[in-house]
This record gives sequence, structure tokens and C-alpha cells, in this order.
Amino acid sequence: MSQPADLDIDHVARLARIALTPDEKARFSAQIGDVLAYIAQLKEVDVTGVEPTAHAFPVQNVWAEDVAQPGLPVEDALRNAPERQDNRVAVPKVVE
Amino acid sequence: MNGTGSPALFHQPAGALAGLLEARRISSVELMQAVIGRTRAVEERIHAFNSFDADDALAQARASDERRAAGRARGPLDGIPVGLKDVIAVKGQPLTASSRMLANFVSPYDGTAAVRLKEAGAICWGRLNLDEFAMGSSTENSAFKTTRNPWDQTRVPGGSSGGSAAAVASGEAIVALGSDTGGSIRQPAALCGVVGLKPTYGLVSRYGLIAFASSLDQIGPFARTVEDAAIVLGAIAGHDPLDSTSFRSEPHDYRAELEKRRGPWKLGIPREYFGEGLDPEVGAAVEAAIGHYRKIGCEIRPVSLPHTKYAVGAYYIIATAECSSNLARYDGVRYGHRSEAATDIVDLYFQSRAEGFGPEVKRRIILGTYVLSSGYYDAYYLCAQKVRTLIRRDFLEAFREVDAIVTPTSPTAAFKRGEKAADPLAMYLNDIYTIGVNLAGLPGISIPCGFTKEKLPIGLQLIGRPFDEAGLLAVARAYERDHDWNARHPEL
Amino acid sequence: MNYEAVIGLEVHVQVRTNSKMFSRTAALYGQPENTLTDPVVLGLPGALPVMNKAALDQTVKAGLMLGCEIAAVCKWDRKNYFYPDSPKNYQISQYDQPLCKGGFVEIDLYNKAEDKSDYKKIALTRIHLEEDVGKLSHSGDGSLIDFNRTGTPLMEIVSEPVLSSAEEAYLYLTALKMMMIYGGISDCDMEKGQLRCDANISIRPAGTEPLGTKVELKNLNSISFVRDGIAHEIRRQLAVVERGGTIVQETRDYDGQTGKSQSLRSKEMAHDYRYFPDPDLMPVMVNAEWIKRLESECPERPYVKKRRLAAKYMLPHSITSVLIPSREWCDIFEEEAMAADPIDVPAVANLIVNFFRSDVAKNSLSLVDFRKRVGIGEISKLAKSIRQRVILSTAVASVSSTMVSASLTIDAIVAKEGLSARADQNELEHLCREAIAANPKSRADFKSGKDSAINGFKGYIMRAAKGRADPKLVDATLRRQLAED
Repeated sequence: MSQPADLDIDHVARLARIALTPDEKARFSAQIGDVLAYIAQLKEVDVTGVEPTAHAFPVQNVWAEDVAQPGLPVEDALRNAPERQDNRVAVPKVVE
Repeated sequence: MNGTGSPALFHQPAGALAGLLEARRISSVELMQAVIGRTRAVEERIHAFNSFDADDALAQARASDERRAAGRARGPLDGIPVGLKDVIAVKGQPLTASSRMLANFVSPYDGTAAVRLKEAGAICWGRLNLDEFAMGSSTENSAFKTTRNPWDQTRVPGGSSGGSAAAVASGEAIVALGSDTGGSIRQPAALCGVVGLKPTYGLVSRYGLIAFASSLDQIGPFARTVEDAAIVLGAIAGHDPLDSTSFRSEPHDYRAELEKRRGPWKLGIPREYFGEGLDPEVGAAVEAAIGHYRKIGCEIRPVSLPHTKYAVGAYYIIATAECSSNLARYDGVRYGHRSEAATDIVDLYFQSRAEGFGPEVKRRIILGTYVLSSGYYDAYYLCAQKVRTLIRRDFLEAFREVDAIVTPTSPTAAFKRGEKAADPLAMYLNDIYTIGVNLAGLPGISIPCGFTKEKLPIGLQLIGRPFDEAGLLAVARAYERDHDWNARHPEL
Repeated sequence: MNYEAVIGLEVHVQVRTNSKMFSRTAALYGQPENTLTDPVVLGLPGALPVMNKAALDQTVKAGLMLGCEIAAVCKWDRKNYFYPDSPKNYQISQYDQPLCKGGFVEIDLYNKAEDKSDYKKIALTRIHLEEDVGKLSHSGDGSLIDFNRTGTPLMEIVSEPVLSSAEEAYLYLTALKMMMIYGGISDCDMEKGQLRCDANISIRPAGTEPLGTKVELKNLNSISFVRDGIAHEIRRQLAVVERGGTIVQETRDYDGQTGKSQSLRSKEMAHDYRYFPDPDLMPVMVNAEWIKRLESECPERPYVKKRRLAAKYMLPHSITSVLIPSREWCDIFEEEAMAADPIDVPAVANLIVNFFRSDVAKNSLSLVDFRKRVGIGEISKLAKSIRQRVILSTAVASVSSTMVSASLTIDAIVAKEGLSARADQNELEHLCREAIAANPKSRADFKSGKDSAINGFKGYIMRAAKGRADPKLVDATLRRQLAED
């Protein structure tokens, strides 16, 4: 099992907002390391002058006209909220 | 089997059932009751469903019968039970992605696929199991239950749409919708001996599909026959103003075109798909199928897709990068699992996501976050998107010479539960034949083409030109017409 | 050592549209909480964005008005970060290809003492379009989130770090706001969150080039607070440096009420936003025809209009500085100026600035309704009437007020209030004083006892009042004034 020197799993898990147990950190590091080692073969490919595929088929100018439509009733909007106060979603205090 | 010797209602294809409904030989309520009965009989062995609401389904069936009685039947899907992978939003129904993160989530809106099914009069039937957030190839990553392969319950049905494939194979749904990002319709279709179609990227709206990899995901049908797949595709395909990636294609009556197009065609066999790792029995069945096409007058040509071996690598950079961003919204704030262990707002994110996501989802989010993180974007994501261009070019080059490409769908038949679960990379390599099709945005279909000695289904994959589903379905039909694999059912 | 300040402003302007940036729920202010949401706004599973074309149009117009180069391709990127007011935990924005690049805002560092303008062009770096986030409020030991504002189209306008004082920053914001209002792009009401400003402030030894460590100042809730906050920060930095300290790169929160700032708890100092092109959105090609059409919809820029009106009508700064901020008032002025005799044009400007504007405010009228009540030519007629003394300057306030509130024409008011028949007492007082001052001989004669000398004044008064003065009142007023004299 390998681990590329530059996968800082603490840092990446923090960026991804997932708390990992020490066991998960070790296990995932190794498993992801294997995948990254496999992926490394992409470096073999000569991609000079090749455009990245942004979208499978080239389509442009997709938009909608600025006409307001009714949205969700507030009850539907908040139906799945874990916690609410009146008509707002409640969370622990957010400190700037 | 019922008393008259014809297959039980729940085993019949939608095309035939539409005829029976139209002729008033059966009612939709009867059909729905037969499907519910079958589900209740086999579900504890198959575990295809996360949930189903029999009362609601029967109410939909009654509504269909009333429409028909009033002369307002809407077409071949009116009154037909369609199972839905639990990633497709149906208003008022659970939408869980087989994840603890969404275990209690009820969708307040209908996705476009649901809207179109309802417009067609179809019955939205149940919530079908999947690998959590569509990440997996065996449905073993579901947080709720492990679906069994109806042909051998010690084996997996494939994934991620394992529940959808199993339900159609076992008669718990007449047809079903799944989603395919790297093979998640085609591979389980192959392992469960049914038809599974991934449309061209952009043909079917993604509005209402829980996003995994935005540039790769497509909704598509599971069915027993190619005609059924054509019927369902016809109902859900077409431009959607709510999906900016949805293509303005010409409307097609896929079912009508099916019998009109008879070939013969030029079929390409990519050398890269028949090498190491392919199970010999699967290889033999696919060779036999190719032989059949030759017999009916098709020209068989070798083609080369030289960048095939980079497909899995490119996929796991692009798909994980996109999913790391798509799954950021699952944080327990507005909906979803909120951790009770959280001490403050920051903790709320870390703990809710730690508790809500399973290990495979976490792995992919972390890998995706890593490849997008500062300093790595060019080396990974940008590079993979360029390799993707080359993969697509390979296919389009081949399509200058041939009308469709023929390959195995999966390197092996269904494997045992637990056999590959411990090694993520080994699991990823299951998708080796299907993944390139998603990267290139092409349509692909898997149809049954035989069984192994152990009586496990084998799937044949056909890959078509962009937006040429009509042509692709016709090529598939040409094989199916002369074979009766779909007359066999698992013994349950 | 002398230090100079270097300031760059990052301004967010809400674009005025009917619906949101990436979905069609209404974009409104002041609605009950969480009544302007949909699956896209809330980031529900399965939701997808669809771009609002009008928002793009408005932003291109803003760019054209500010002299920017418009990108040929409008491309969307995801800016990935977690925050409770951001439902998807990424914001759809623009990273490396903003819709508008370059451009400038012209400010006038007008010197009142010398009555001299000093124009300076403040260069812009870029303008891009993005979606707004929700509103967090704090309650007890928790926070509450309202998503009504989420998804509203938002322009981010970034200036080059070329402002050199708090006053320049104030002028910059005022000029920018005027530009947006002129173009109908935004109302820029800071109280409604339609315009928000963050400032980046650093100091360096005067005349040097390298930039000092910058401090970001946030929570500047009004244009005045922007000025005060920047001034305060410059003083703070100077004080640090003067006692030998070094400036720490940080984000500070300015409290306009107390005039103090404090360091915000540092979040991740360097955010890794992991930008990548949004796979859910297609690029938009902004071609030459499109730009030409939008250019034709752009009004005359305020700073161009100011110079033109000043030159054409000889308007002083005291008039243009009040007139220019309102495009509609400028239009009204020009309509009247064209109807008026050239000699009356300054008076027309004066009437608008000093009388009609407050009348309109008092009656809470829109300028469209104002024009319905005060037709074209009426103001120029009023100016002429004043010049011809049909209406005395002392009567103007009440006349203009009546024109607006009662929707009467000049002719009607003059007739109705019998102004053609008689002058009112104020006017008489004024006329009598004038007459006395203009006829020192008659005054001397009257004072020495010659009563008939009073007629010397009366002739003057009757001519000036065009025979509208009541002779008895004139007589009584003259005698009283002469007695008090």
C-alpha cells in the first residue's frame, strides 16, 4: 500500500469538512494512495495542444428569460430542516 | 406462471402489458396488485427497495384505470409500474440516495423525469436501492441494505443501480429508472440479465437527479426488452429548460423506429476491450453475439480506442472532483442528517458529514477535494479533461468507420458479496468497459447475451453515435429478435 | 517620514432583475422569511442552475458604462467554501474570465474655495457576476438563516489599488452608485443591501511604489461609514508604524456607531476555493451585435452629461452637483431649457434645484407623476414670469408648491390668486422699499414735509407691479416704511 508524500489527509479532510477517525485517516490515506498511484499513468499521455473537454458536446448560450415564477411554499422549503425557529433555519451560533 | 401458461403479469414486458391494458384484458389495478404481491413475496430475499408505498401505487393505478375508462389513456406507459432509483426526486416521496445523510429526507418537488413519467401516466413505484450516492459497482455501499442478485442471492446485482436492475429481473417492477455515471445502469443490467440503457449525455434531463458527477450522470431505463427501453426513453427524453446541459434534440418515437431499422450495420470491435482481465465465459458469449451479427449481414471491423487504459484514471479524477463539490451541500443545515454531537457550527459540518456519509463516499470526496486543491488542479483535473478529449476523439474516429461498437459490458459475471469490497481500486476496475462511454458522452446499452455455467447472466454492450439512440436500439433489437434470453427468469 | 495611503475597493452591487440569477423565483426585498426559495436556491438534492439572461445584460451594460472591455465568452466557475448562508457550499461565480475587465470611474475632487474641478480616473480591475448568499441573524445562543436573498444576481466590482484617501473612496462610491442608477442596473440602496463595500487599505512611504501590507475592512454599511472607516484605519496604521510596529495582514470589522474597528477572528486565512468550471452551466458567447444593442441602451454617462450641461448652459458646480445625480431631473431641466428664452435658463436650473425638488419630495411623487402635473414649458414660463415681475421672487415658493400639489399651470395660478389683479403684501413691502431706495430725491422731499412727494414712489410701484397694486395699500405701506426709516 502506498501513499504519495503530498496527500495531507488532515488538510484535505478539513477542506472537505469531514471529521475522520485516526483509523479512517490511515486507511483512506493508503487506499487513496493506491488510486493516485494508478492514476499517475495519465502523465504518460501527450496532451500538448489538446483542449480540455468542458462539456461532452459543444452547446452555448443556454439561459432563461427573466420572468419570475412562484417558488416553494415556505412549509415545503423548511419541511426537511433539522431545526427551525418560526420561518428560519436554526443553527448554532455563527461567529464571524 | 399463471394458470393459462403465459408468463405471470409481473414478468411481462411493458409493451405486451400496454396491449393488454388497452384491450381491457387487465386493469392497471390488477397489474399493480400483481407487482405488489410479487414484491411482498420476494423482497425479503432480494432487498431491492429502500421503501415502497403500496397504497399510493394502487391509487395511481386506479387513476390510470379511470383515465382509460374515460378514453383519456396517455400512451403505452399509462398504468405501468416504473421503479425509481432512490436518487430521482418524486414529490412527497423519500429521496435518500441510500445514505444516512438523507435517511429522513422527503422531496418537496418532482424532478423532470418524474414529471414526464407522470405525464405519461406511469405509476411511480417505490424507491430502489443503490450504492450510496451512486458510488459503487455492487450496491454493497448502500447504508441501508445489500441488494441480492435474483439469479444467485450470494452474489451482488452490480451497481450503483443494483436495486433497479434486481427489481426488473425479479418482477418487482415492470421497468425501472436508474442513473449511470461510469456504468451504473449498464453493469447491473448485465449482471442481472436485463436491458439497461445509458442515453447520450444531455438527452435526458438531470433536473431532479441527485448529482454525483455533473458532466457524466444520465438517467436511463432498465427493462426486459429493447422495445420497453425504447418506450421509457421516449417518455423521459428531450430538452428541459430546467437543465442547462440538456440538449435540444429532435423528438423521436424510439419505439416506432425500432422495427423500421433493420440494418445491416458496420460494427466495430475494439481490440483494447478484449485483453487481460476479461473472463473467458464472458468473452465467449460476446464472441458468439458478434458471430450472430455477422450471420445477419453486418460487417465486423476491428477498431482501436488507444486511450482506453486511461479511462478509469481520468474518470476517477473528474468524477471525484465534481462529486466533492456536488456533495458539499450535505451538511445538516437546511436538511439531512444533523449531528447531535456537534458543539458548535463548525463542528456541525464536520460531525454531520462524518456520521452521514459512508466510507466510499468519504474516500471519493477526499480524493476529489485533493485533486482540485491548490497546486494540483493542472496536474490532475485539467490533465484528465484533456485525456477525456482524446478518449472522445478515439470513439468519434471509430464512428467514421462503423455504426456501433460492440464490447462486453462487464469483465466478469456477478461476483460474490464481499469479494471486492475490501479493495476500492479492484472495484473501480469493474467499470473498465463502461466508463469510457460516459467520458465520451455517448449512448450505451447492455442487453443479455447468455449465461455462465453457473447460470449467471452475461451482458453485451453496444455503444452508439451521439444522439443516435434510435440506431443503437435497432442494433440491439436485431440481436434480441433472434434470441430468447429475456424469457428466462430467476427462480424465486 | 511621510506616508501615503493606498486603497482598493471591492464593491458588490445587486443587479435589478425580476428573478434570481440561476432560477426564476422572484428577486424581491423585504418579503416574509424564506418565501422566495426553490430547490435551486436552497441547494436541494437534484437542483440545477439556469442562467438569467437579463442579469448578464445588466452587467454588460454596467461594464460598457464604465468603459470596460467585455469578455467574448462568459464562463462560470464554482468557488468552493462552506458557510451556513451558502446552501450549496459553493458559490457560482467567475474566476479567471470575468465578464468585464479594466474600465474606470471618474471622480471630481472639486475645490469649493477656488470653484475648480479636479478630475481623476480611478481604474477598475474587473467586474464579474455571481450569486448572492442568504441572510444570517443571531438570536440568543444560535443563528437563524433566511434564504430570500440567496441567488440574487450580484456584480463584484474591483478597483485597482489607486485611491489615496477616504474622501476619494467616498467620491468613488458616489460616482459608481450614480452610474448604476443612471443605467437602471441597480438602485444601490445600502440599507437594503443592494450595495456593499469592503476596503483594502495599506500605507507606504510617500512616493514609493511597493505596496505595504494590506488590511481588509468589512461591515462598512453606508457610504459615510466607508469614508470614516477608511480614515480611521489609515490613522490606525500610521500610529502602528510611528511607534515602530508592523502592520499585520488581517480582516477588521468597522463599527460606524462607535468609530472603532476590531480584528475579526481569522477564518482560514488563505481560503483554498478550489475553483473549477461549473459543469452544470454552458458558456455564453457575447458577440459584437449583442454588445452593440446593449451600448445603444446605455444612457449618457453622468460625467459626460455634467460636462455637456455645464458647457452648453453655463451651469455652475453648485447646480450640476445637485442636478446630475438624477437623470430624470436632468431630462426635465433640458426640456425646460429648450422651451425657455436663453436668458431664463439659469433661473430654470435654480427653480428646479431650489424649489421643485423639495416640492416633489414633499408630495412623494415620482418624476413621471410630477411631469403629469407640471407640463413641459411650465417651469420655463415660471422663470419668465419672475423675470417679467408678473410673479415676485418672494412668491415663488408658494407658486411652485401650488403647481405641484394642485397641478395648476402658471396662467391658472396667476389668474386664480388674482396675481394679475393685485400684488400681495409681501410683494408690496418689497416694491415700496425698492421704490424708496430708487428715489432718494422724493424721499428727501417727503421727509422734509412735502406730502405730495409720495407720488414719486407710487409711479414707480405701479409700473413695477404692472398696475396690480392696491393704491390704498401702497399708500399705507409707503407711509409706514417712511416713518420707520
